[in-house]
Amino acid sequence: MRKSWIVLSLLLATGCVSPVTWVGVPVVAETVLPGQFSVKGQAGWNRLDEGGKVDRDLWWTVNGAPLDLVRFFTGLAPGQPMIQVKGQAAQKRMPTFQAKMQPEEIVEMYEALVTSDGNTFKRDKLAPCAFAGGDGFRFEFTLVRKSDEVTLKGAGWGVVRNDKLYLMVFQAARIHYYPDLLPKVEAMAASARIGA
Amino acid sequence: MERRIFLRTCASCGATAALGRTLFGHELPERIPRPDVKTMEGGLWAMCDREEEKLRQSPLRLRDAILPAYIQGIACRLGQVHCPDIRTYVMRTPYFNANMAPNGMMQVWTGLLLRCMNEAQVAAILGHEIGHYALRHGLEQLKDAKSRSAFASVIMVIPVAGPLAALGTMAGGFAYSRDHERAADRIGLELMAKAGYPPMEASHVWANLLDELKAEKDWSGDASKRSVMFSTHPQEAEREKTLQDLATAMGGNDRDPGVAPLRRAIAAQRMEWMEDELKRRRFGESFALFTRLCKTEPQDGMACYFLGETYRLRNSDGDLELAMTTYAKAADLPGVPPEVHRAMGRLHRKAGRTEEMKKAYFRYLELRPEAEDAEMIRSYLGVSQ
Amino acid sequence: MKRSGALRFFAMTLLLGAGLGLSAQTRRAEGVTKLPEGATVVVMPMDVELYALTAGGVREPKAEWTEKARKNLTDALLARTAPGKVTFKLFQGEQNETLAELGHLTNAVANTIWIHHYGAMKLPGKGGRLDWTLGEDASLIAKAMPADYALFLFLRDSTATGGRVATMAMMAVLGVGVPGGSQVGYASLVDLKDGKVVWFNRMVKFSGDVREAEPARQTLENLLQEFPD
Ligand SMILES: [Zn+2]
Repeated sequence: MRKSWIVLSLLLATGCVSPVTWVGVPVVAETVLPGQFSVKGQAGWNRLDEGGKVDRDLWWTVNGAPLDLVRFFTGLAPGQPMIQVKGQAAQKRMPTFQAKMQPEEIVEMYEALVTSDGNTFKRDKLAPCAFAGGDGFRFEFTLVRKSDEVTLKGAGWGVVRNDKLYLMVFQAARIHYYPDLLPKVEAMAASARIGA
Repeated sequence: MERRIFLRTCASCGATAALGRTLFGHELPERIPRPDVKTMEGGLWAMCDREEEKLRQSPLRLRDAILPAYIQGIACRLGQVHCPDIRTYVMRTPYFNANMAPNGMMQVWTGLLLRCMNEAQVAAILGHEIGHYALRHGLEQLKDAKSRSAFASVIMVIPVAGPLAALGTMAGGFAYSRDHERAADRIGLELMAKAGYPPMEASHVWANLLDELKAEKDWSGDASKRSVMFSTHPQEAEREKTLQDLATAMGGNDRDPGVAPLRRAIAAQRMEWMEDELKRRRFGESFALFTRLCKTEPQDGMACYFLGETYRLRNSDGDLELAMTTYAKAADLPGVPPEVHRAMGRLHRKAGRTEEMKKAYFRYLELRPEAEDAEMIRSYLGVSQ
Repeated sequence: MKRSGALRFFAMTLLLGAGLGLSAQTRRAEGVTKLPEGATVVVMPMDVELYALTAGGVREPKAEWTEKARKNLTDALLARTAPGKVTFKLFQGEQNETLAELGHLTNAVANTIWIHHYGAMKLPGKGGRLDWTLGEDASLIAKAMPADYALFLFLRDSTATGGRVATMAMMAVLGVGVPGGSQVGYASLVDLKDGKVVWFNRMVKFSGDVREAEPARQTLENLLQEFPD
């Protein structure tokens, strides 16, 4: 995982990078993310701020990323990978978004992102679902994180609009954190909008 | 002949003297008693015991009734007197690796089992690991590390992979010496032969892995080592040749390598592992693997379907067409999963071949009415719930 | 915590502990001052390991030291039992898969608290409160071993041996610091009714010895700072 919290903390501790901090998510009607994507803010969330840099992979958490995490990929254009990785070969292995991708292929792309370090991923459900005002899809999955062997459950929502991908994925520890936060995340997904 | 090859291949092998009589017709060292806690070996064991407890609780450990018992059985037949001291754990992780800790805990990863073409190949690897164990290489390694230069940076001497994530630590901090590897290889062959396996299969393990790595390099342009085992195990080509020569000298290579027993033991999980394999996105390696499986067993519908999947995911020029022909071929073979129809449906849909798409998707839903993605597929078909 | 996790954690915490100092974060969850009278605390199997740090920097596991340390820490902990107040007892229930999953979560929660509560990566949404939980499944621990609270304890201790000490001294003359021994640990107290972490403390020290009873008791005191008993 690119933004592993350990790496972050180490970088921060050694002062190697511009400050990476968690900042509170304001509780307002619309929190606008890149790609003119917005969701309704809720109390208690924190978003990762990488020195003001706009990233295509945004992280939100309530209790800390290892326990619960929402990732936003908003406005991914054809030919773009979900994240940039170091090394040509590694990047080549990273799938890139294609406008004609079907929902299962988009899920597969996320799966590739989270299993590249040997985590096991099982898709539990895939179904059509309205998202951000469009005909999108919703999926569920189970993930065993190899580094600490925590079993996580996840749910994701996605839609392709004007050839761009908007994807929001929630994953949290199967014990407590997933069931506890799922209703809030469902509400967040329901509040998603694209466009000014 | 036998002696000449032995001498030639071992001329530069420092461990031969120490290892001496354990080779070719002689017995394994005796059972290793639990060491005193005050000793260095005792320290290693205690640490490994704690790791083992964690391994037992790992969600990645396979707990079914068949496979772990099957692997333990092979280890026992190979380990002879050491059998009561060996405890095997099969871990679900798609990489090629096995290791054995000084306290007798042995891990076998599913990526390795998927790659073995027969039981003899599994035995070759387990035999090698038992070799490291019986010759107490872990302890020697720790002693060696301790005696190294005073200002070396802090290295972790951890002879267990323990958590699967410790791979990096394993590879970097605990590579056995070449001499240890050679010694373990030889013991492995010896144990295989004694247990009635054709020793030649040991060299095939390495030949197959080398093939996969080459294919990966060709595909990704990445020359760095992909396999954990390869970073800790020396000079694979040379090793393959040596194993081959020794096996030829030993004879007994016309014995049954045991294709069917292995396939039976892994049948229930094989599809899951193949999915895991593709998630690594090492399509060069996967391509070599599935091609090998299909060629060896042309009626293997499962492997053939996953070869098609490899084409689809690799998605180089012309790959989608190749995926389609491969799926179509696989669809008529025994053992093919219903997902082959879904895969064909997807390609038809993307190409705008509506009739073919419907036929394929309906077939999939017929075979898997309770599929987790049935709703999605029905929406593609324009059928409401 | 698994080995690599533990070791990475170990290295990281040394760095963070040394670099950032220990901030004055609250060790107790909101509203927690004292455990109710007569409360029982089950002590979960301790995750303790001792190493000898050799001249070359090799960390050698020491089974005998580890055994002694466990015994010393356990004895010191059980001796805290105050009649009519808080009773400590050792976990002797059956392990099962759910408890194992809870164990993995406990480690993840501890790491998270370390980073986000004590460390520099504060979560503004938490408002400085110690506010984490294992969830209601924590009550399964009480099912396996009746108690009101569970105490989790983690300690990694490396002690510089003769050669290492000499190296340190020599390099110090040259103006180069070579790390000596260290103790890194945490302790976490969980309410078994609802899984809430009611108290948590972390410790990073460069001195101390848990192989002997008295210094071990002191280390435990450090670990249990502001423990609500
Ligand atoms: Zn080896």
